[in-house]
Amino acid sequence: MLSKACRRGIVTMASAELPSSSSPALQFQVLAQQGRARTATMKLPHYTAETPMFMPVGTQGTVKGLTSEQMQELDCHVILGNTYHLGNRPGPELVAAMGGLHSFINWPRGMLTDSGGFQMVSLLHLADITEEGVTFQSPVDGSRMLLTPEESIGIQNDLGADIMMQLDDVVPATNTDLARFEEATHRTTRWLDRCIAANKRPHEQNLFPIVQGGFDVSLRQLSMQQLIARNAPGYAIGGLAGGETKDMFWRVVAQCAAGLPPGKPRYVMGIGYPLDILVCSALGADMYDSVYPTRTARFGVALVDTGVMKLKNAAFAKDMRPIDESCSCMTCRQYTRSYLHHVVTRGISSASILVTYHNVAYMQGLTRRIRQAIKEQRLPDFTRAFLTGMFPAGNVPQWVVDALDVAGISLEGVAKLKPAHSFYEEVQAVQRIPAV
Amino acid sequence: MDKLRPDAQMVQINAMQFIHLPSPDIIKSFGRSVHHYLGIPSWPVFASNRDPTMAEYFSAKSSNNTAVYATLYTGGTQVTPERYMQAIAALQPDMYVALADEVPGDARPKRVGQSVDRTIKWLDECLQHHQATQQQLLQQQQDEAAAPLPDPQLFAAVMGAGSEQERQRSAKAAAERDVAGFALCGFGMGEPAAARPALIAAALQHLPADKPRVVVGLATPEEVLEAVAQGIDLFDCSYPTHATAQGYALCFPLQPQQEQQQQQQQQECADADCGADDSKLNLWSLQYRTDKGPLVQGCSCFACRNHSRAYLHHLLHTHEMLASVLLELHNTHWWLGFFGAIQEAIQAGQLQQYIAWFKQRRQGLQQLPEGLIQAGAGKGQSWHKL
Repeated sequence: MLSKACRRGIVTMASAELPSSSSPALQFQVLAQQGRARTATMKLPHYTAETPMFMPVGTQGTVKGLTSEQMQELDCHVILGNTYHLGNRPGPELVAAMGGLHSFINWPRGMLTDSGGFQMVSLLHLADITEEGVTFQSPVDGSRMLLTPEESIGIQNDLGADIMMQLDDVVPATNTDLARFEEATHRTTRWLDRCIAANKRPHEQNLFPIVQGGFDVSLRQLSMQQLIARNAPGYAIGGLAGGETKDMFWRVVAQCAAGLPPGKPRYVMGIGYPLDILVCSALGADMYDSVYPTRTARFGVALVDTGVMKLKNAAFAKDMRPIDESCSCMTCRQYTRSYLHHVVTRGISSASILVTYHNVAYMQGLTRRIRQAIKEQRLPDFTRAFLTGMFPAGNVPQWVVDALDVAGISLEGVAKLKPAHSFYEEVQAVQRIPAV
Repeated sequence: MDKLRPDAQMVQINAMQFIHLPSPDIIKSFGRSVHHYLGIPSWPVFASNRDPTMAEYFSAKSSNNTAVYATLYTGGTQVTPERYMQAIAALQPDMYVALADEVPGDARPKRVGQSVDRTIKWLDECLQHHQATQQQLLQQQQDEAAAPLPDPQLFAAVMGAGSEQERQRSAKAAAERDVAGFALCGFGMGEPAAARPALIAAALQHLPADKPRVVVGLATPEEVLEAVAQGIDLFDCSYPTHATAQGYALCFPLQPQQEQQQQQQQQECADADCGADDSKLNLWSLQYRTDKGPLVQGCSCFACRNHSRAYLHHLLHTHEMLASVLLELHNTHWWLGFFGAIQEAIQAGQLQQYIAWFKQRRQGLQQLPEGLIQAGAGKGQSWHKL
């Protein structure tokens, strides 16, 4: 274990070489790199976050049952608010009148709002996409709602989050029409320009573009080129977490993480499985969000290094151990699997809060360990140990083996399978964008 | 829970929840008392025979001479004194109520008599099991290292439903046994609130003054005050729980000095048909949509210090769990503050004045509107009067 002074010395020495960027409302500084992975600080108007970072989702202005104080206890740096839901209730004017979302919900740290666009994919049967924007049928009262880039940014300006997402034209991953992906790629860039023009608060709120292109290497390259030319403070990799195969998924992350400027944060949207976060971080991504940890908690499922623990299972009725003996969260310090089993099987909603608390603690703990491993230059060992714990019989999935191979991490002795991808050939035709 | 200190002093549980899943065996295999199992090791625990927010005794099947028929989460089941005491032995609460044959407030005389008889019989059986358990523990202790023995204090259940005679009979019999306290049972079970004082008085006549008395299931602050004046010591927190479930924030003034503040609040909703009165706010009401103020001005609870009415209103309308987390915190805090005020009044020798002041404030609200009475209101579970 390196001493603090020694570590600082190393960082100072290398800081001239470590990527960084400075935008009006965001300063990103990589502290350490290993392979494609990096750990960094990201200074936002409300908080300085550390990456790789997991952002819990507080869809309607609350992270399912947890108080703002608990979220801080749990070491959350940035949480998500959902523009679509908050735009309905309580509405942007009200939030603005309350002093912005931070003030309304009393969350002092970082906030990120999405554009409302993801609901396009998840509520597609209610939506109609044109060049103008997206027309929704509001599920609350059935009224027609048009979400344009201008409207989305207008709402997000009222909400006042540190990071806003552009309204993008998202195509469901299961769509096989390349022309549709091409249309969406170009439209996303046009919508980005409209979003940028509509942003009334460029010095207080960051606007992240979202890379599109589906699963086509050249479309993704094109999207990145176009978006990077707009010189944004950070970039998101979109169009994933929509039912695509993991094989397609990692390739897009690998290509985009490598193609986006190293001095700026890279946000893979909708990622919440611990395994996915580890792999994406190894590939060079920095930020993640998902409802998964908090949602699965409400089904009585706890997250642990070896996978999941389904607390409703009768096997836990008499198990007097905590969820995770190595976890120091309030739930693991005070409650047994037996107790949690009994309260979650009864469907007592407040019981799910205990599991939610642990799952958020787990995710924050995981990202802390990843950051620390990168700082201490032992990410490969950490990754191998983690995968051994998760796949004790060695049956690490092919996609993980392939992705980590590209990330420069060998799973020899840990995984039965060998790398079998042709990733480098696939992207060879596409020229690498020089680092900004 | 820690946020409710110092006002909160004890936690109430329902012993029936530990008859099956988790069973006494499971708690025993855990190896420590229920305090640790529930994650509240620093809180004294009172195990009552029923939960005032549930209705586990009202089922198609009835009890008999040997067992209560209780409807638990896992289904209906017979609970004998033996089975009940197995749970108590495993839980090791600080205090508990013996197994009782609960009947509704409008039970017929024969059934009420039966309930008194059975409960006395079961009290003796519980006492026997209690003593056997303590002896067992004593023996075990002699064999192992000495730690203070758990010594759950038994409260006898005093029954009698709506009959003053039966209340007296039950109390006399309970007072003859060597018990630590008395639980006056069968309140909050559909009896009219006005009948309660006489029934409580009938029982208290025969209970020793130097042992604690608990009543579970009273609904409103006024009912609590009446019972306090009569000599009851321990009460439950079902009132704040019900208020929370319906989206109310309690705000009745606890001291005359606070009254002015509340008068302001009353004026706020005097015109609006917002379902509130001067004792509680209905946070569902649209009038709170943009209200940046705390739930109750001057309240020091976590919810009021950190959040606004507007936020609570939003959380309720979006059906978010955090609404009940915050409201329960506030309402329990407020309820416990009420008891603090009662204790102060008693210590200052001012209880009667306090009660008089409290009641005259709410005079107008005591009576249900005539139309509702005719429609049958006031005859059901007393918490409807919330």
